[in-house]
Amino acid sequence: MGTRLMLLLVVFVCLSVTACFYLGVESAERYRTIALGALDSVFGHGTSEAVTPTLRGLGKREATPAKAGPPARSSARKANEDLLARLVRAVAEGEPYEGKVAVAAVVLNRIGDSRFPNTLEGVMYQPMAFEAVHDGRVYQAPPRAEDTRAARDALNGWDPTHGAVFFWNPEKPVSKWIWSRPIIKRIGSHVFAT
Amino acid sequence: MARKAAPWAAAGVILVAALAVWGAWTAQLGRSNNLMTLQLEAERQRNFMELTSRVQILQGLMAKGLAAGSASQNMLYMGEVYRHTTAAVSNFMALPLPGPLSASTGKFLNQVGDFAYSVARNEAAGRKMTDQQRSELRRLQKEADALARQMQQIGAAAAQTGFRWTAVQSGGPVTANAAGWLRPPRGLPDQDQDQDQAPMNLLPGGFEQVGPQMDRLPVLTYDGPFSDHLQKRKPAMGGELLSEADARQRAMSYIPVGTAYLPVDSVQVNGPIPAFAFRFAPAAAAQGARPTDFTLTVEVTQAGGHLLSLLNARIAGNPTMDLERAKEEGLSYLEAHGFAGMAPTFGTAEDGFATVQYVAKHQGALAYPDQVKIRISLDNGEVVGFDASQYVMNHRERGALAKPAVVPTEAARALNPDLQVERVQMALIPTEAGDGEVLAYEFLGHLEDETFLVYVNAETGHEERILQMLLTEEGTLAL
Repeated sequence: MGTRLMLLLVVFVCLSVTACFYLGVESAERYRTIALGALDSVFGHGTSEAVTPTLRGLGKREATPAKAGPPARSSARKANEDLLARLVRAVAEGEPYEGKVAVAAVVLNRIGDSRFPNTLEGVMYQPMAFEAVHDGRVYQAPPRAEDTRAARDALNGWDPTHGAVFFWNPEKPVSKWIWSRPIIKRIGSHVFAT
Repeated sequence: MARKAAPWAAAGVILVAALAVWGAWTAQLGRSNNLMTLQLEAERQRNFMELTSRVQILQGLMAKGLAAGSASQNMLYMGEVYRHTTAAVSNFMALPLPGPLSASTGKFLNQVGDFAYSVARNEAAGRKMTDQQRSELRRLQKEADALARQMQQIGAAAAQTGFRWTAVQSGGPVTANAAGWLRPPRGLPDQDQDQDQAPMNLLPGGFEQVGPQMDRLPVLTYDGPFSDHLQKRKPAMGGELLSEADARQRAMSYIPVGTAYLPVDSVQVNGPIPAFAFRFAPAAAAQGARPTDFTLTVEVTQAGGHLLSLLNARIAGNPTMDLERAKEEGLSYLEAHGFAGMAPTFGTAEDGFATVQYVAKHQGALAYPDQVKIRISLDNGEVVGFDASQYVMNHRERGALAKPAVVPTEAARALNPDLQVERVQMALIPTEAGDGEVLAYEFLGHLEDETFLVYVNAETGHEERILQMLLTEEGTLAL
């Protein structure tokens, strides 16, 4: 009787440890996508020249330079749009439309800000910059129509945040340094700061 | 005896088999995990080392630029400095560093490159380095040198202590077992610590000095987009300060006639142009409106109640008009709301909306800093997007334009001889930093299959800027 119980116990322990590792597989998968995302820094065609002061001076804002000839919706731009839209979906679900455009605009504002990377991919994949990127949420759900529209608007230069480069949810724990940044505006459940 | 033992033997065999499979599987998982950690670690190490060597190189290039005897030589070095800082920033921003450290050091590197580029740009337009620029360059070179030394020390210390970048990202120490395999850290970072930030105490020694040092650098002012003085710009358009209630009235007057909207929310906007933002929902939905029901936001400036922006989230219906007609709709909206004397420049029509840029005309010249961007819905010509942040920032009484020192025919000599000029026009264009203006001749021309806008400075006769015009199915874009 005792040995049978012990046998059952051993089997139970093995199964539960296996179950833990099975869950570990899922996080390993996520780790792989994050690692690959970080390793493969070329997702689109961003160059620092793209966001030239000239562009800003004339009111247009591109994250990628469209090469001579192709239509405005080049494949590089589509890739950028998709990336931005995924972030909008992951971060601004349930926010008003203005909030979605604002999130995408913050990413684009960072490109032109001296304190952040100079390309769209650099900003998106900067380690630990966006929780939704480093915990894999951006890879999970494809963007919806509203998210794509918001990303497109931001790429066309609409910026409800007037130059903000930080955003956070004031209800959630965030570092003291972030709170020291001057807040420009609140949209939905996020505040935007520079 | 054997009969009694048989079921036990079977159970024993199954158990051993199960353990063997399980053991193999977890070993495989461990191997795969380790491989990925090593790959990521290699990537981070590469970035750190490239950064260190690039900062070292660029400070040397700056020193050479200072030693150069001619502007043309110096220009080459400044160009090289710019190239290296761009790459160094890219390396630096790929490391998992705390926000304050990456922001201040990144800013320093970006400013160095941008400053060098502005020197090169001036030299290309015939303006040699001034004494002030020279002393700034010298100061920046010394700072870059100090940073390079610090990075080298940090790298040496990190190599000695067996530091791993992958530890920093996961918030815990990484250990290696006897076989040299890295064991990834377990557990979550401490809740009290900064979210999404690397704890400083996990970084190699020396880093904690870099951030504060970068913060202590003096303000850098020059003609470039990363210059510090741009943070302090005040809007040119002003007026009496309005109360929130008056501002709301003004905002409602800017809503295009059509759907009835009711105000549901208002916030202050503390950006470069102080303003109020009012949110509206269609009258039908306003009762008990949730955040996602806000479809219209109108911002008016606190000083003067000028329309700063408008954003209507509605989706476009079937288009009933073309881009040209949409441009007219935008123009009549501008005239009706106090923006006189504007002319449309570039525009595109896609997804049921037209986006058009309008620019103020000043004595026949197009004043590009005074620009407004409007989005018009192609189903009924309603203005659903409006952005006057540039206009409010820049528009003011300019008085009579100075007579240009260079006549159009002289200016045309600066152009590429193969460029076929279609038309010439006077224009005021923003400087690189965006806060100044230059009077220029705008030449629209074709070279092979492509269309370009070339701006020639009307005072000096040098080429200032070249834009490429893309003529697409959806409209025109200038890049």
